[in-house]
Amino acid sequence: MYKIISNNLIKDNVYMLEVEAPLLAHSIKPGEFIIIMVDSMSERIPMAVYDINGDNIIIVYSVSGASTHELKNATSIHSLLGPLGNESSYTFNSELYIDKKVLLLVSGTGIAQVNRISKRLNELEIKNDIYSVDYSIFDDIKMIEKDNLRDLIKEYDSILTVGSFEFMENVVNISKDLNKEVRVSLSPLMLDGIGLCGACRVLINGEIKFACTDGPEFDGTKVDFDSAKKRMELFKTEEGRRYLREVEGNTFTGGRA
Amino acid sequence: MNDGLKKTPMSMLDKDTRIHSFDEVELGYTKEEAIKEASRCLQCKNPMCMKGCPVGHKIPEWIKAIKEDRLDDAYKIISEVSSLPAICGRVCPQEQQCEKMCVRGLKGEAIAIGALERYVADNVSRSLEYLKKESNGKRVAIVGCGPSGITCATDLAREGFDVTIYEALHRPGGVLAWGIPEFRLPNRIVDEEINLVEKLGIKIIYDTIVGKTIDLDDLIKEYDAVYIANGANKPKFMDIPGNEANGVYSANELLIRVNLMDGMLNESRTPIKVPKVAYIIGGGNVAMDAARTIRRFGSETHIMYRRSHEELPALGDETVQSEEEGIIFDYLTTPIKILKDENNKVIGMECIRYELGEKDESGRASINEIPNSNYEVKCDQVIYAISSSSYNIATRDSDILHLKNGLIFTNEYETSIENVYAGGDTVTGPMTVIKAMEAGRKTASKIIDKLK
Repeated sequence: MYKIISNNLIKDNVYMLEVEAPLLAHSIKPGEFIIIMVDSMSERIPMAVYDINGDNIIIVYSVSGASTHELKNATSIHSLLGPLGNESSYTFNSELYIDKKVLLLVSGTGIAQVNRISKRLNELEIKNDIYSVDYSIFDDIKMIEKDNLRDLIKEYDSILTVGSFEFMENVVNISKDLNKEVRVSLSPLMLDGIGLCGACRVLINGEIKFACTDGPEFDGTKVDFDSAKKRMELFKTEEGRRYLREVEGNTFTGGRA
Repeated sequence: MNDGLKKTPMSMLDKDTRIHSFDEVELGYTKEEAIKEASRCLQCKNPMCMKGCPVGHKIPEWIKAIKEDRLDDAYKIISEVSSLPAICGRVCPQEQQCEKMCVRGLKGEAIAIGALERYVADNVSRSLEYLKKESNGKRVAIVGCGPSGITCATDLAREGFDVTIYEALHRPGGVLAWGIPEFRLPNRIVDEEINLVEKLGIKIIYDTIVGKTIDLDDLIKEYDAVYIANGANKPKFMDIPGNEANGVYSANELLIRVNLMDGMLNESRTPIKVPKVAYIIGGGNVAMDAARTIRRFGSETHIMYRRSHEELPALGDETVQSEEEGIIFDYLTTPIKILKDENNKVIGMECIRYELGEKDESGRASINEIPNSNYEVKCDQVIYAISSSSYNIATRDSDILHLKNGLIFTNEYETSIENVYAGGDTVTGPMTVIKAMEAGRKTASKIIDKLK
C-alpha cells in the first residue's frame, strides 16, 4: 500500500498525483515508467513519471477511461511497480547529443514522459526545448500549432516525440522527410510490464519487440505505426463498457433492450 | 490391505459444470477414499517411489499414517521434507516421478500418491512454526517468489536464517499465481500455503524488480547469500506473418489476465476478450491451461499441435480433462500465416499438415511437411503456447556469467560469483514446478552447509 500525498485537478480533465514510494523515487531514471494498481481488483495502468519530489513520485494523467476515473477517486495505491523499460537514449547516451539541439515534441500528457528527460539534459547542458502541440497542460510550456510542425522540426538535430500513435506517426514522417533523427516513446496496451505477456509488442523494423522491456523508446523510423494504431482498438469495447458502468451506473446492455 | 489394481478414483466436478466455472475440477479424497487408497500401499522395504521424488518424500511412512487415520502424524512426516504439500499434491507430475516408480504400477495402477498428499494438506490444521530453529544471524536474499524461491526460503528459514524474498508482482507465488489456472490450483491454496511459510519469519517485498528497483550488487553486499530464481517467462511467438493482428496472444497474456488479475471475477477491471473460436498453438501443459481457461468463457476451443496425440508433452490427466471439456485437438498441423481483415482483426489461419517421420536421438518423432496440404481455418483468436525464454533483468547488467541463450550459467546452483546462487527456470529454461522446487531445496542445503 502506498500513501497518496496529493491528487489534484490541474487543468480540464488532467490531474497531478503525488505518491510516496521511496525505492522507486530513488531508482527511476528519465524515460523509464511505472505501472499502477489502485486496488487489488484494478487494471494495471502504465504511467510516465512526471517528476520526483524526495521520496515521492509525481504522475500527470488525464481521466479518459474507467481506470483513470478510478485513479482520480483513489484514497491509496495498492501496487506501484517500476522502474520499467529503459532509460531514455538521450540521457543514457548523452555524449551523442553534446553539440546537438534536441526537440521534445509532445501532445497532451506526453509532457509527463519528457519532463525528466529535459531536466536531465539541462543538467548535462544539452540544448533542448519542449513543445506541446495545439494545447498545453502547463502554462510555461511552449505551444506549437500542428500546421507549423515542419518549420519547428527544421530547427533541431534530433526529435523525441510522445503522444498518440497518429501524432507520433505524423512527426516521424515530417522528421524523416527533413532527414532528422527521430525517436518515439511508445505506450501501447500493456499488462504485466515485466515481459511476461507480450501484449505490448510492436513491430520494429519488422521484428517483434516488447515496449515494456525493449522500449519504451525506439527509433521512430523503424516503427510499424499501422499495426500499432490498430492494436490500440483491441479492448476499446470492453473498456468503454466498464467506463460507462463506472460513471453512469450499470446501464449498458450491449445493445440489448 | 486393498488388492485393487486401480487407483481409488477422486471425485471431480462434472464436465458440464466445469466448463462454466473456474472452481477446482478435482475435489480431493474423502476420509474413506483416502484410507482405501492408502491401504493399497505395499509398504515396500526398499520404496521405489522415494527414489522417484526429487525432494525425497518419506512416502510409505506418511501413507501408513493415513491408513491408520493419524493425519497429524502424516502431516508431520510430510513437513519434514515439504512445506508446500497442498501445492505439490496438486501440480507435481507424479505420473512421471514417484508414481512412475511405484511397484504397484508394474501390475495395475500406481498408488495415487499426489492425491494422498493433497488429502493430508487439505484436512489437517497446519502450522510449521515448531520446526523453526533459533536464529543463526545469517541473512539470505531471494529473487522471485515462485516455487523455487519459496522452497529455498522455507528450508533456510527453518534452519534459522533470516530470509527476504523480492517479488516483482503484487502477489506471491510466481507462476503458481499468474500461470496455473484456478481450476487446477486455486489462488486461495497458494496464498494459504505461503501464509504458513511466512510465519517462519520470511519477509516478502512486493513491487520490487531486482536489477531495476534495487541493484543485485546491493543485495550481494548486504546479504550473506543471494538465490536468483526469477524464472524464464518471455513468451515466444511463431515466426509467421500476422502476429501483430488483434486477437493474437501469448498463453501467458491470457493466463495473467484471468489468474493474476482475477479476470474471471465480475469485480476485476482487467478486460478479457472472449472469442467465438480460439486456436491454441502447442501441446504442453501451458497449452492445456490456456485452452481450458478460454473454454470456460464458452468459446469453441481448439488445440493445434504439430505432432500426434502420443507425443503431447502435457501430462496425461490434463489432456484427458481437456478432452472431457470439449476441447478439439487438431493434430499434425501448424499455422503458417495468420489471416486478418482490414481492421487488423484475426479471421483465421492458413495451415499445413505434417506426417510423422523417424524418431530423432531424443526418441521424439520428427515431422515432415506434406506437400500441397495447405488449408484454412476460421477463428478470431490465436494463442501461442510454444515455450518461453529468459530476460534476466536481475542479472544482465551484473558480472554473472550467462549462457548464449541468456540463461544463467551455474555449477551445481553456484553462479560465477561467490555466495550467489541460481536455480529453476532461469537456469534450465522452462521446466516443471517441482523441478524448480528441487533446485530451491538443493540450493538451500548448499547455503546451509556453506554458511552454518
